[in-house]
Amino acid sequence: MSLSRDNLYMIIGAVVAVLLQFILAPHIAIGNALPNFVAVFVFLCAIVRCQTFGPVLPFVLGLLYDLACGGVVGAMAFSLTLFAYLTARVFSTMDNDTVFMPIATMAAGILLCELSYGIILLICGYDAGFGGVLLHIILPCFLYNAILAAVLFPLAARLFVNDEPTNPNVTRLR
Amino acid sequence: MPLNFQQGSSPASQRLVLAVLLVVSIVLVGVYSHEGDAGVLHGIQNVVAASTTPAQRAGAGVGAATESLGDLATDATADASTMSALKEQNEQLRAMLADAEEYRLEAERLQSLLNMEQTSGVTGVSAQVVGKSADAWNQTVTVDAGTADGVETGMTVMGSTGVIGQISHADEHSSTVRLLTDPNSGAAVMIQSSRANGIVRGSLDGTLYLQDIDEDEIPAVGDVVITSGLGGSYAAGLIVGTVVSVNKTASNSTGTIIVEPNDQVRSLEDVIIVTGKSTTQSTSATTASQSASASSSVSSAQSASASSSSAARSQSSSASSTFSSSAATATSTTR
Repeated sequence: MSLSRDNLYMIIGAVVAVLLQFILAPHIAIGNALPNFVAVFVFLCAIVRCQTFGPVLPFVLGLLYDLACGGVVGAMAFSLTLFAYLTARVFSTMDNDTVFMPIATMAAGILLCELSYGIILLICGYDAGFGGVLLHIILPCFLYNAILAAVLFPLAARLFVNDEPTNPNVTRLR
Repeated sequence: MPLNFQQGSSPASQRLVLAVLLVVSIVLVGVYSHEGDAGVLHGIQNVVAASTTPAQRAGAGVGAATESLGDLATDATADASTMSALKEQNEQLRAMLADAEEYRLEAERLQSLLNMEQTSGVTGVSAQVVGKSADAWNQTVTVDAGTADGVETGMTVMGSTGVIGQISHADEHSSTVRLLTDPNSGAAVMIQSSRANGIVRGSLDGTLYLQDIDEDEIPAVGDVVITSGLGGSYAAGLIVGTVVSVNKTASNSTGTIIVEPNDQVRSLEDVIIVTGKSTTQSTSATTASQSASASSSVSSAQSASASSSSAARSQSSSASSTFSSSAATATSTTR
């Protein structure tokens, strides 16, 4: 079993994201908006490694998030797995030689993920209306996470990029 | 075999793995929703959540630091009028502190003389807030007292001046408190002056709403709201907050009544978990609260209680001290 440099960075990144979620996230909330470092990390990986991005990483981290945060188990795992994978697939087909496109794709993926997670919680009995949840939780969290992802994107593009030569369509931040 | 989360396999096999994982996720959601608090997934969730407590405890220090930074920024940007107002307020607080000290000493004397602990007291466990919810959907905090200290699920939790929530899950050395401001929280309350019953519910924006109150007994701004004990979800006679807004409309005869909680939770702050209350006080509160709306309030309180305890999780921590005091108000002064 070998462990390449970029995979080592990914594992370290995943551990750091989970730790930040429990240590830092509760204390840097802005109103109802709480950052989701786990989701931000997964979507960064989905964009930076779109050609090889698989569904296992988002599923594992999503499940860990569900178990540790006290939400409905499987909800974040489902949302992250589906929308991170789709984000990677969509982005891999794009002409992506700009900074705007990966960030916009990532933001769209994060929004869909937050929406999906919220809808699952509502279906499972969360005591609030969709409008209120959208206004007070989903949109603020989406904005927070999208900004966080945009800020961290240059760093992720340096650290998590594949060792092996990739498809010319894959983003290399210049 | 490379240790690779990214599966450099063919697109077809990736899609197969994706489909399998999505199905597994949906099955997990279904099982979790239907199994109840004693289910396997809830058990695993409690264990995993308990293992995150050391990280949360480390984060409590970060939280205190960020709160200090926020206060510092506010102080630094305060203008001259704010400063003078604060100085004036400080003087008033000093005077009140002196009075409060007198009352505290008096309360201690009365407590020892009348042995109020046995007649109308609140018995509790003091604990420190060591963590907060790591997601935006739950308004919970973790405290460092658990079943080893006599804490049980459903117990009322108070800050220094009022009720802040209820134990939603108790682990051996830590417990999760679902705050009163959580949308899934609800407490049976009554207006202290009129003894009218109602339910205080949390909301997404953290505001407390007083609902299910009788049309003829609408409270006025400034009325004090206390727990009624109906439904058994919260101990009776503990202060919740004060009515700050009554917005009555033609379409809504009871109006929108907003209650400002007496207490807010901050990192590394002590709370009191009410483990017991004498029957005398509970009985008097319950008797006084008997009204036409009582039965509906009981059922609402029970449903609110069930709702609030449905999303529990736990963490772990150190032991805490046990104390007892004569009443909710006396509790804060004793501490």
